[in-house]
Amino acid sequence: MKKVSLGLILLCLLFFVSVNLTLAQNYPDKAIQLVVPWTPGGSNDVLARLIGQKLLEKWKQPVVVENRPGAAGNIGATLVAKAAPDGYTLLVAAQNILAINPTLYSNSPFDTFKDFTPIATMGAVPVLLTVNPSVPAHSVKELVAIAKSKSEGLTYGSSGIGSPQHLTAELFMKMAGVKMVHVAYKGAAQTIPDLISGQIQVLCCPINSILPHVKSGKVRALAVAGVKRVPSLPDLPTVTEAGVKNVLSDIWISIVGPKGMAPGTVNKINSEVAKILASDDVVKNLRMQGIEPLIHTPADFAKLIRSDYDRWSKLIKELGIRAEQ
Amino acid sequence: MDIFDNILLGFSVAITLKNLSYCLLGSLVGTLVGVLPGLGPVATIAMLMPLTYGLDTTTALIMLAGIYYGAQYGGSTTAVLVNIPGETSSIITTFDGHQMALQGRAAEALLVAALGSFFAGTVSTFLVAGFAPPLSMLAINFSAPEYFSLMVLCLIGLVVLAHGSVLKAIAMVLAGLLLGLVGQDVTSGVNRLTFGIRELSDGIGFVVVAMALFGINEIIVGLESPEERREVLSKKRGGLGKWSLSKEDFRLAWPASVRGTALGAVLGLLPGSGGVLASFVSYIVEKKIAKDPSRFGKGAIEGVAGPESANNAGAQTSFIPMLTLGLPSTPTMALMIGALTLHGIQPGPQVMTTNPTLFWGLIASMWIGNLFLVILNLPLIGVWIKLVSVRFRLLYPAILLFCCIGVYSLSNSTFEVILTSLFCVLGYCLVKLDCEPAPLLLGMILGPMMEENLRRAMTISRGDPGVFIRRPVSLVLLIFAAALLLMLVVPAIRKKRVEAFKE
Amino acid sequence: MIKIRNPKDLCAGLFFMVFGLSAVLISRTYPLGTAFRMGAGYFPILIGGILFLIGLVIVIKAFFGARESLSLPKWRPLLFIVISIILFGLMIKPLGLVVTAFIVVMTSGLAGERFHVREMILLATVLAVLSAVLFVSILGLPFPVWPQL
Repeated sequence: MKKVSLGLILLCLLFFVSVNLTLAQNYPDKAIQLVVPWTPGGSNDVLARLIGQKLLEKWKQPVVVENRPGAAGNIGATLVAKAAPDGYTLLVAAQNILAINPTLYSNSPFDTFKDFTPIATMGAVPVLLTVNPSVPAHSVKELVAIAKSKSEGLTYGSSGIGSPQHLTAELFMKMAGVKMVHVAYKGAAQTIPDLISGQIQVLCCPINSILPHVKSGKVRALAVAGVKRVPSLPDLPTVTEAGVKNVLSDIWISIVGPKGMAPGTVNKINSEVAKILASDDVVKNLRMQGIEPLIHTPADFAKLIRSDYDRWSKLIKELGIRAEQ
Repeated sequence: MDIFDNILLGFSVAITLKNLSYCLLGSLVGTLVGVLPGLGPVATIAMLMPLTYGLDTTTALIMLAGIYYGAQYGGSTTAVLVNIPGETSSIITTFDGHQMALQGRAAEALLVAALGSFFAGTVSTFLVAGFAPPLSMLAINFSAPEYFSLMVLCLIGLVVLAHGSVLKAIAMVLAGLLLGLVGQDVTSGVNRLTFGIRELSDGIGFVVVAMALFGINEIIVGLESPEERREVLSKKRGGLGKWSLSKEDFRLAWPASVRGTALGAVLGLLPGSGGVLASFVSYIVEKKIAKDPSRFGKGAIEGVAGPESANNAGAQTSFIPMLTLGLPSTPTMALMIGALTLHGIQPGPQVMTTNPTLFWGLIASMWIGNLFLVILNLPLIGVWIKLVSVRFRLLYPAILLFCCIGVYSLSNSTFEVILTSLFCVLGYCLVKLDCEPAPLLLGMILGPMMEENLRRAMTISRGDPGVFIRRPVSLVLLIFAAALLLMLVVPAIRKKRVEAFKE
Repeated sequence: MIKIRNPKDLCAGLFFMVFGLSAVLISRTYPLGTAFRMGAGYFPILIGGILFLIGLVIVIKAFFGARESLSLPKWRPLLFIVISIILFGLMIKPLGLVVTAFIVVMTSGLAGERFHVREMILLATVLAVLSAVLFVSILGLPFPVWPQL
């Protein structure tokens, strides 16, 4: 009896695998829904539409970009987590949705590792540590010295609790052993004018929105909060090089699907996205926006999620940062 | 090179067959988007952006800009004709614009809106061309304390808006403030008044409430009145109005338009909801300085001319921070920056010198676009009026359907649609109880801005309330607020005294 | 005995009182902070409190002010318009724009006093086709056009 059932299970598995294989071969044979969990118009949305357009050209199947904004991306993410894992409902996810939100929100509607299949990374945006030019600090060391001379003397801005700007600054403060006062803004739009006018003195900002102001001298960049230097500012050291270790905060943007997708489909999407990211016009286009193309295998991408998740959840728990939805 | 050479250069770029046709196309799409309730320029520009990859930068930007200000024109059309603010900035136009339409002066209202907008567009295009860099510094130095003081001024101004019971108007403002607070608190991350509903953590959508309280409510109230009385623009009410403005109308409208332009040009520079604030402040000013304020809310032409000029002037000057500093003052401008970077141009002060053809071409095209819009809109007025002159029982299902589609398109979610139906019931009850919806809607916009900026200013100043007085712009705004409050209170007290003496 | 002179004001005042009071009660749990370092609860409690008081004043005035009567609402328009909106929300995803638009227009037709069957069918068909062309084909909204099987 046992043997029979085992055999049945094996048969079923075989059947599923073969179905999955044929599915992967035929994939896609209908429209793909690409859920973008933000309002239209942001740089992530623009990137999603660009990749969607290229996939459509390649596969001759419509790629429908659907904006499902709300709750820091959790609304769109939950929708995809619950969808059928057939590869026709995909999520464009930034690192904060997968690596930060589940720890930040006590009532997270999904589990990053139980609910999603990592598929492909698309791009990375380095974060710069910048100050208002009136702050007499020309290096990370000098900034740390100023911040240490008067606790809570400096003010830093962010685009909200748990945003990359906020957490990068918190990580920096923890590693450097300093304290600065946090001012949260609704979105990033108002942070840069306030940094330029000196209302806030420090801002950890994704490079794509701050670069022109660094170049025009209205804002001074002190370091890159990443593993390596950025091509557009080759003289700028990383925070680690400048003496404060482990302040790593690359913002990446990726495609994931619901848990349980067939490996064949995952690999097919991954290799197609990788091909798109390698084409000259896309690379040029992304670099213009300050986004570095980022190509990983699905396995490496899973590791990236794991390491970022562990780093941020440790910080969030240690500092007791929390938010509700 | 002086400004006229620059403008000449701009026109030489803008007046090519290709650029002209894309400018026209943009204006047309913009008008369409503006007329359809709920659909805004932001979503449309985002969706059309991939189509512009193939165009050269100047042409792409000219088209996108056309969509943006086209939507401003279109938004006022629905506000006047069917009492639905097509865009946020046209809420104010519903007050007197729709009243004019009900009195059979729809054509005049639309005409004055179009001409006022064109005048404002012309003046502010010139401002952008001539004074962009100094004006952009104003935008940079407007920070949390100034915002808070401006909100205080606006809140006091809201009371001026009321035409019925002042007490009920204040209560509606407060209710609006509370509705505006729903959602995640920016400073602490705590969720407020959301009843644990995740969809509410980003707040209640403005469009949802505007649709429910204005457009759909108008349908329900219309259905309650007997059939013969409910034709929106029936001939019985004096027809559609004339195709020209009378001398009297013109005399009242042009100074309002000039004042509106000045206010709009300044407020448009500010990040945030510059357009709404501009039209709103302009309305308050007009009502305050009018010889007979009681005409307002009953079809006063200044109440259309001023705010419409203000919101269009604001729409143009909001390009200034974007072009000169690369700072987005509105979500639409953020998209424009996205479009620029996609085409390989870093927005910022260097654009003017490194890409003069782009910079001046865009500015010239703004003026041409405004000209197109006036030319387009004048004959279109007739078409729109024809469209809404059909029988009410054929018209209202269409309006309702378009409202539903508009609300759903905000975030493609059923939740927002259901929320709209709830606000319909609420709005219906409030109208039945003689409570005006406009103060509630404006309170909803102002409330979160006021709280956020107050708390931000206090955190930055480490708890010292003196910042509001030490910063000059903030001080001036507070003095204005105090003066306005006095103007409101003193006559009321005097009146009470006179009444007391009589008894 | 005191007579209610203005039932409209009475209802409006009561509504504002309930609204303000519930805001205060819900916001009790949020951190209050101080006047100079306001917490999340400060603003809603302050505003809710003032709203409650103003509501109270309106209620009191209802017993003394000018007489006014409250007209009874007609339930039919409100009911069918609200049902149409809810139907739209529930049907758009599974049934697509064309079918949804048709049903919503037909339902909203019931809100009027008389229901002209032929006229409504014609109108619903025209609007269904028009909205599919306008919103999906021209403006490119990501709506399904036909029922999703």
